[in-house]
Amino acid sequence: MKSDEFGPVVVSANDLLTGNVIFLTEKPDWTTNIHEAYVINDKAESCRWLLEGEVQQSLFSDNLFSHVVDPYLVELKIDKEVISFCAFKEALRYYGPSNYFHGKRDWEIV
Amino acid sequence: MESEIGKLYSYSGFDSEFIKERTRQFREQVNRRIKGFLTEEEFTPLRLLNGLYLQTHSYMLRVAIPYGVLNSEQLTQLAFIADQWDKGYGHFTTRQNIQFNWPNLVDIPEILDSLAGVGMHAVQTSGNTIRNITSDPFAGAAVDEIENPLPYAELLRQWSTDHQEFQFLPRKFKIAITGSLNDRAATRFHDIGLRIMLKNGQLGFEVSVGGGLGRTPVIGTVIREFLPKEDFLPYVESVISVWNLLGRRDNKYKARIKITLRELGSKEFQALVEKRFDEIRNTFNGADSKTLEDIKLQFSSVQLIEMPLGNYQNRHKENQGFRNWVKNNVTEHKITGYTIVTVSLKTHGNTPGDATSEQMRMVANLAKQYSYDELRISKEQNIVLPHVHRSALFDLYSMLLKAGLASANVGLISDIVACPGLDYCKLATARSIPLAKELGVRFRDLDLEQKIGILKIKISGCINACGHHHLGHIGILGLERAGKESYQVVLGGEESTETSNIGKNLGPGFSKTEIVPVIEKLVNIYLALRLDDAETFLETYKRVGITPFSKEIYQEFPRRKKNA
Repeated sequence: MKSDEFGPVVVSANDLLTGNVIFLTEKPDWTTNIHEAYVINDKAESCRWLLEGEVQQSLFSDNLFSHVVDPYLVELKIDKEVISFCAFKEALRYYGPSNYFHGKRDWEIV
Repeated sequence: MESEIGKLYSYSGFDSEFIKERTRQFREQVNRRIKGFLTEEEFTPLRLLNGLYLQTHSYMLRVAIPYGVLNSEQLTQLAFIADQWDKGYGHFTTRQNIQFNWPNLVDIPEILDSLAGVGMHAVQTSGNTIRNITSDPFAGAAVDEIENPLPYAELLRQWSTDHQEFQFLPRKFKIAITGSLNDRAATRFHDIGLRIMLKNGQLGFEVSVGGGLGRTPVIGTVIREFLPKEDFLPYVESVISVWNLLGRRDNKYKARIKITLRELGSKEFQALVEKRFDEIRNTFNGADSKTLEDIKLQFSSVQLIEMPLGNYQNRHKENQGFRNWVKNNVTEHKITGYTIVTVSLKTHGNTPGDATSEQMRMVANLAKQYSYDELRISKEQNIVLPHVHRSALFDLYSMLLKAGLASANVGLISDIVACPGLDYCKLATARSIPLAKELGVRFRDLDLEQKIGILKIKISGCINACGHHHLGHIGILGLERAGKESYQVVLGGEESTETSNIGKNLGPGFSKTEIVPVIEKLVNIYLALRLDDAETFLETYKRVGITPFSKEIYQEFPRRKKNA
């Protein structure tokens, strides 16, 4: 990505109860499926959506409690609607560990 | 004839109540977090004090195995936890602990209750506190032992657990203790290293301070060559007390005691420790010595019975696999007729240090049957059965074979130490496990393992060096370069007390696809250079230096040198 270009990015966090990797949707809600995540292509918009994630982290009431820990922005590559992660670390985080197939998804060792 | 040895420590009612109370407190803290009465910022230090991390994919619970010692009931309970709340396996670490990689937050109090039921816990396995005390996995059984260090380790455990002065140290603090001449606890690479010494018939300790690995690897400095054993605890407290006040809290990368020692100078640091020691020595009033004597009594003793060798010699003569296993995995015991068995958790192609619940239960049963109900976890991520009679070795080997745990590779090239790396750890920058698996399979397929002989490979997935790569004869450090995994190689590390060395960097790093061929090439260079079959990799390296290795490697991988 050139310095004056931005995105695409998504807001990601960990689920409080399971630690699982989750992504912010347009609703806004959280999903474990990257294909359901809201993809952002504008820097100002990404700040707003990150703030939305952070607000959700601290939404507490008698009936509603936080299931979100430490939201942050994750960079993607989208080529002909195929989504991939810019950083290897983020791909591994999404697909699960490479030593066992009991992770979150099937994983081919890169 | 019978020979008595000290065995497992029996926990008192106080220990049990303390652990139960801590678990009760943590259950409340978890509930408050889930209900939103605690923020993540408030909850994080509380969960860390109870060994709970939020890692890449899930929570990770690190359970303390004090000085690496377990009984069969405890290992069986760990197997139960793996089945009930994890994915059916556990990962034994380089600090003699066990980690569960997949628990849910709400299940943690249940797991802690389950641990408390067998006298175990996860207290101080994380956070800026005194961590699990580590020791020699052959303690109480080693031929070269001056005195069993485990009662001292237990005294340290009791003293450091919930010690009010040391709950918020500048950084984590690690203590290792050994009672043998051959230092299997790598004491020189700990914040405090304690070696039992004998001087003029008196027992005491050599005290080294400021050793460690991580981004600044340092060999510890000896600040007391001989400390009388009765001064042991007040002196340790003096060291930590001085550092607690001086240690940098403004920069976590400069907070460890090794940096304090470097900035202050070892002489000045030593003088401050001696001053503090003079102040607090008398306040102990001998209570520590009294507690030590009580602890020694609570280490139950066992009679090792002399037995005939049975069919051992015939089996040894007839069975090549058994012979290899005995050669590599079995060590002489201080009691004639007995041996120390190392069960390798490095089956070729498997994850180093991982054991399934089924394997845990099986090894627990073997410990009960053959090793007086005692097991140890080594920093090499293997399981040790410390008291096995030679007559039982073949039966033990046969059962391990059935469980896929009879790899005869202890100390060999496939006995690879590896941290969890990027596969699990949030701090990691590259994967360690796939590399370890690939190397294990590669050298098995080449059928070179026995020919190569002693060669320790250690892999870390980041600069924090949990895989102890600085101490590998061949060390591998995983890094991230432009979003991709990259690996640096160090050569010549070793951790025995008299010849401790930090590995030397070979040169520019290698890609994920290159690193295994690079290691294979290094081994081939060694095989071509060694004087004879008896000369180990480390001996060859010390004789010829790093240049012949780096020259040939970068001839074959020239682009790396250019791109450095």
